[in-house]
Amino acid sequence: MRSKFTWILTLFFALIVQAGFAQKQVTGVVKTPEGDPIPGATVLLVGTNQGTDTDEEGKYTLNLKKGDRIQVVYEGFKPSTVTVSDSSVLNVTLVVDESTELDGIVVDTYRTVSKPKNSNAVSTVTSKTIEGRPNASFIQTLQGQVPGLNISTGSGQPGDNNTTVILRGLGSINGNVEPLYVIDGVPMSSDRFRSLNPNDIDRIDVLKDAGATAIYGNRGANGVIVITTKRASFDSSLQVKYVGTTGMSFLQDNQYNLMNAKQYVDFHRKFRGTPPAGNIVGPDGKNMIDYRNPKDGNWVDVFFRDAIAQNHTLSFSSGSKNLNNYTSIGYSDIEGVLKTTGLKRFNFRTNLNGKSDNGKLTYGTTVSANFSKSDMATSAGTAGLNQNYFLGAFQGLPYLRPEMYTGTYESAMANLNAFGNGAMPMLLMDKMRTHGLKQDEFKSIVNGSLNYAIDSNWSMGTNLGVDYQTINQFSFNGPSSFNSRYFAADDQEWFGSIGNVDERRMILTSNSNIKWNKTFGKHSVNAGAYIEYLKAHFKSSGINKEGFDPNFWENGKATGWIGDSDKNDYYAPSASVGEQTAGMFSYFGLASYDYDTRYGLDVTLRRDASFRFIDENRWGTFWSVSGRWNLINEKFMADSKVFSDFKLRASHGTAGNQDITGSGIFGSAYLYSTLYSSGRGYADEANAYSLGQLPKRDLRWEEITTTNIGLDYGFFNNRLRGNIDVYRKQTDDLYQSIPLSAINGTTAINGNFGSIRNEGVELLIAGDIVRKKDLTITLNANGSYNKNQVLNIPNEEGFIWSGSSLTAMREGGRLGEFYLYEFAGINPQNGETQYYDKNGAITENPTDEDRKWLGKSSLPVYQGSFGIDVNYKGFFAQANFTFAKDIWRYDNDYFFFTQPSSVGNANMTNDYLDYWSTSNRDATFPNPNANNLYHLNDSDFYLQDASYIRMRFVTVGYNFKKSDLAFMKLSGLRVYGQAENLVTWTKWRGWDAESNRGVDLSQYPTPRTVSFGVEVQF
Amino acid sequence: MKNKFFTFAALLALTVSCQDAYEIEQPGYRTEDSQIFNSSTDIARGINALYNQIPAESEINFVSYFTDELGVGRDNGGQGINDGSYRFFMNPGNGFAGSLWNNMYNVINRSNRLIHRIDELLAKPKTGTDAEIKAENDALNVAKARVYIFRAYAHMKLFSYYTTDYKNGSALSVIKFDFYHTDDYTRYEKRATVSEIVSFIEDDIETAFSLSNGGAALDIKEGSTSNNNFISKNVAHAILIKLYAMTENPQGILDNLASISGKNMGTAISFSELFAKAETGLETNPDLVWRLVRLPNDGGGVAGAWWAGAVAANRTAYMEIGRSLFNEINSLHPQKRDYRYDATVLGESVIAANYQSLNADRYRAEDLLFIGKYKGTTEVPLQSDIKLIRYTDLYLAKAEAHAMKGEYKEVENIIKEVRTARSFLLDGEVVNFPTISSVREAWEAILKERRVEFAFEGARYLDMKRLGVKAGSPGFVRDPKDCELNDACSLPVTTFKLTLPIPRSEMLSNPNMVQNPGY
Repeated sequence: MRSKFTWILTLFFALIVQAGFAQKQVTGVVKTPEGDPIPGATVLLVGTNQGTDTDEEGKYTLNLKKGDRIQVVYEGFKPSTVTVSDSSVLNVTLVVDESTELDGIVVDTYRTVSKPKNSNAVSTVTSKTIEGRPNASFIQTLQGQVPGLNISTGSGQPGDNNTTVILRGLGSINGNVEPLYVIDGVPMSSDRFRSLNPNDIDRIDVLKDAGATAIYGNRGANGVIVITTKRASFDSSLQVKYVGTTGMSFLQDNQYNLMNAKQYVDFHRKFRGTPPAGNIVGPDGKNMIDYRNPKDGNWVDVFFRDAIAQNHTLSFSSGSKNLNNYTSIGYSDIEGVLKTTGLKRFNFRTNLNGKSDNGKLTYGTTVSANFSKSDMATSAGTAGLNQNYFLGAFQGLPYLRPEMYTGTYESAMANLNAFGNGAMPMLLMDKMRTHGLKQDEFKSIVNGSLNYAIDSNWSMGTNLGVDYQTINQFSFNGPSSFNSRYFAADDQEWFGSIGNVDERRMILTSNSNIKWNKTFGKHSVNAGAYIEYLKAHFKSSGINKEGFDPNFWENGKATGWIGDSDKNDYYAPSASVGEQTAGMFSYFGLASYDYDTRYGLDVTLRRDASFRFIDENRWGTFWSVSGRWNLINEKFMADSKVFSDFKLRASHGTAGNQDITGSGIFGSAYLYSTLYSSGRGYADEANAYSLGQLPKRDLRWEEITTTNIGLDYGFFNNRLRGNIDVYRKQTDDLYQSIPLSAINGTTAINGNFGSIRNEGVELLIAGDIVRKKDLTITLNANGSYNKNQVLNIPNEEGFIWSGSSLTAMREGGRLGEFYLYEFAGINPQNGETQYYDKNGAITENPTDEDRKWLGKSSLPVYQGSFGIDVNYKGFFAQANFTFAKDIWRYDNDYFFFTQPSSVGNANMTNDYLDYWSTSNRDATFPNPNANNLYHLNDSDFYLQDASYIRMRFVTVGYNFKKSDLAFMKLSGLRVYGQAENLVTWTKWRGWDAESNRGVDLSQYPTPRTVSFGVEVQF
Repeated sequence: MKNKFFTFAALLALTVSCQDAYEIEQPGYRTEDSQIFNSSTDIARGINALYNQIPAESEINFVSYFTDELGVGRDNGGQGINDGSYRFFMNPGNGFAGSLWNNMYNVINRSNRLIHRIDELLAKPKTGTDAEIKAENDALNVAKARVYIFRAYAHMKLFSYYTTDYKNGSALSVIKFDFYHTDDYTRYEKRATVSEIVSFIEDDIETAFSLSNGGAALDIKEGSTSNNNFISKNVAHAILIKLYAMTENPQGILDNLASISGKNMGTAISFSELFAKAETGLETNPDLVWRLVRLPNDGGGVAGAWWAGAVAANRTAYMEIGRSLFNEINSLHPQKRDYRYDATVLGESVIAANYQSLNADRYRAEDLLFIGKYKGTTEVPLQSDIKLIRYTDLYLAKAEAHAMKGEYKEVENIIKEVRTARSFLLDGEVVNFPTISSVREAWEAILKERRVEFAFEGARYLDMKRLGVKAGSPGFVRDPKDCELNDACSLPVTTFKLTLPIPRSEMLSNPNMVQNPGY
């Protein structure tokens, strides 16, 4: 506070000093290149905060002197700085800022081209979309913004790293399926971005087709997401900007129609003939449950909360003639809706760019240091009734109440003994009291670049990047906890445990290049040659320890440590240390040719070596060719009143996936070799030697070949604009499981075999319904259709099914296709479940052969988003809806809510009241005593259409006029309110229709969030 | 121009150490068996790993659910019911059918590799004194004998579960896996016949004996007497006894039983020590021929199949003793002085005398027949040493041998001996035993005796397969109270489900494989 005050004082002082010089009144008009006046533009005297806004005619008036420089700023246009001359009239023309418009630029790590000269399928999202959203990770913000990019969060844990990002359908079965992320030229080791501040991002370019990704060879197969952070420009005055949001998140609702206490007791009485019996004696000596009039326990409030989140980012940017700097600091504190979970984060980022006077030598450095502390939920999605809060909060018996647990192990035990599994919410209250999982992550991305233009045709450069990350994970389970004592040995005296893991990753990338370009007449040619080197190191150490003194214990610490004794080994800690190294080397080149921005051809070629492969499979070669035809620049289009942009693109090429096991950069080294391991011994022998891994010497790259044809269009002065892409993406040499005879010592080995294909269409369309001075209304939509098909399978039957899994794979089918019995209703005679057999007849005893290919998968066929953008004077409103269609998921929660074995043990749905009995033969649910009940969970009975439309976000706000802010000495102020995930329309009964899993059980749902934001510029 | 390339070359030099990017040696990776197996001590470490591969816990788990041993427990939350395992549901995706097949062939694969490496070591010139060289070669030969016995054991287990008809020499059995096999993934074997497998097991045992001075050398381990936690001469004989009980070779049973040394059925006291929590005296327990030692960090835990937390009345009992089994155990002796009651039924159990008249809820809440056989230890609540082969098992095979020969009175005597060994009788008390007056009754008595003797030890399924028809048994029969809510009351003795299906992974990968009937 104090420093801010000083800072304002300094400005004020500067103003007084300025006022001493000779001044004159200068007026001017700010207009577009077409001559249209721009009202509401900000005109600022450089080096001060003195300034004004243009009026309705685009006019401004200021007191200035010769030599003063003024900067004119208006959103959507490039800022312009002009110098005052002798004249008292100074008109300024602003040009549209290309980066926010369709005809902007396209950025990847190796080249930057203007959109008209881009031949590839690339989608760009700018800071305008990303900034100020209350999401912990920018990945969530990207949702629905890029056609063909399927992002499913599947967890409400703030900053959760389980988000799945899939571009244009699954391109691998066991390998990595997610795009490569490159931040400021540094390829990232993982898709974990919880430590990064989304407000630092300037733009994100999503590279989709081979023309764009082949140059990333070894990791480009699943697309590339290029992230560019904000930077300052040369010759710019200091800008200080603050962005802050405060929000609140709420748990999503479910549609399970669960029973309340009264309903449950009545149901139990009807179902079993008796009310439930368990009870517990309260402090008054009386039973705490009155089954004649049972009270509801509000478990949702015990475990969940209205969670508060705040984000603050303060950034500074400025530039002198040869040097510019952008620096930002950020702080976030985001609570999860599950109590005890959350994310706290601190970010620092600074970049510095310099150039020589003649501009020939440029250099830049970026340093970012990010630290986050996460409190995480454990066991979400599991059936651990003493572990999974999301299970216990809803499956607990509804007539139990929080006050029945008094905060001790004994109390938890008493409840368990009285209510059996039904006491799960008490066990979880005990867990919440004593247990935690913390992760502290430090991530630093540092890079430096140097470029030298040898002459007007030749330049060379080098880029060195380091991605350094440390994670400390600390889990604890207090000595008074139910979980530590219930599972302890008989003669164990001290309870409680901790686990501590330290991991350190360092990835070094270096890239050197030489580039050449030449323009002759209407021809221009660019070419570049590159070498890239990557080396990565991983180290970890861990310790686990049991036995802590409760008198010294503190949650989250390791205090009260009990040492090992001669009596037993319970309290001896166990430790582990690990180390891994990975590396890759590549050389590649690219060339592009343009004729008059009418025709263009791009070629890339890349050779890659990976440490994962040997012999002739070590090196992979990837290439691409892409071309374009800018029809709009042809003579016959020149006079078109209709077309304002029209470009055809086509590309074909290959890219590789070296992360064939999907285990990240370090995983699965040496898969080509036999490995022996040393492990747990037997009896009094401490050690045993065994075969650890069978070799697959001929492992090789998964190769993805993509063909893309695209059209960029704009009609009526780009009032209607967008693009269409059609693609075919085929993965060959898939790394997948090949069944083996058991004589090999294992029943399957993974190898390169088979192909899958994704084919689809992507559409982006935006239209300005109203484009007036005061009012603009833009409708936008994007959508994609993706058909996923398995082409061949490594066995003669043409399909792979484990014998128990819900999904299987067949030639011609989809990945993750459900392979189940087809439910044929309840037999009204006996209440047994019925199914269609392979001949279509009804059977009560289906066999494996009666399983059906249902053509349903948990990966959507259709998905996308649509929205509206309204600007009226300073007001703006934005709404965005995302959708996914033809997506199916197995509802395991509903399974438990409808099991007869749950009666008396767990809460149930009121739907189950419709079970078969001799008096209810036309029932939804079978006879509870049916002999073939267990087939139901292998049928499509619990398979649920999970298509949805979700109101992803709504924003309403106001952009203050410069003139209204003068009294506050601000150059910009923007306030807004927004809501995320407010409404979802779906048949899915669970909390969250959006999930990246094929089977869902008691997961951490993504929350609804309402937030308020402010953006201030000084 | 030259300059440019020169500069570029200089940049290249920055990254010139490029090979280190992809030729990476991970620390500690061993890719050849010659890197780790270089002495008899190393080989012994390789054998240690074989013990850990025997899926003993999952066998006990499977057999208890799939037979009439279990009843639904007080705290059941759908275990065994929702997935059908308690309801006699069996298909080629069955977990135990898969894990037994896979684990046992894994044991054999590693055994064959060890045999191959031992032969290499034997052939390799050695340094040292003649005595040292002889000692090392002897040790290698003894190790080899152990591996042969392992291989025979694995084949015997596979034979027992996947063979439809033990007594038909030309019937399909399992794969005979007698060769060194590393990574030729395209080799596909056929199922051998019953007689081929039987003679293969016999040959392996014979080879083991010839390598170990008739088995005597097996029982010497590092200067001391062999512990029953390792493969021994007795184990070799036991394998043959178990095999001949299936193939009905009475003389083979009797001969091998006679060769078992230092073992007997023990007393009521030694029997109760077998399953005591303290696990004292197991090394010398007369009944124990082979046990698998389980130490605190070994993981797993046999009682986890039925219990959560620990074996105690105030812990979570998913499953309990089935009423039909309990009634059999309960009728052994009016004052429960047949110790099999104490060993099987947890002391904290609550027996509802009028259980038949209770409604389903009250039966479940008030008739608490807790399983106490594998109680866990004081150190690890659910985990115990596995009693893999007991002498009593072999001695009852002797009864089977007599029944095969029609000598049913001998059977009666053996049953009486077993009951005497299990009872702690007060003065004047006499042991109850069945009067047997036909061969069928003899089989029936053996089946019944085995049911109570080996309850929750993973025997019931194969007992029914081997003896059920001869004993005239209806198959697995649960008490009506144990199937009131799930309609899974019985499985007839003639069901195809008494032979496990060849697992799906084998059917899928191996074109020469033939599935068992019914699946």
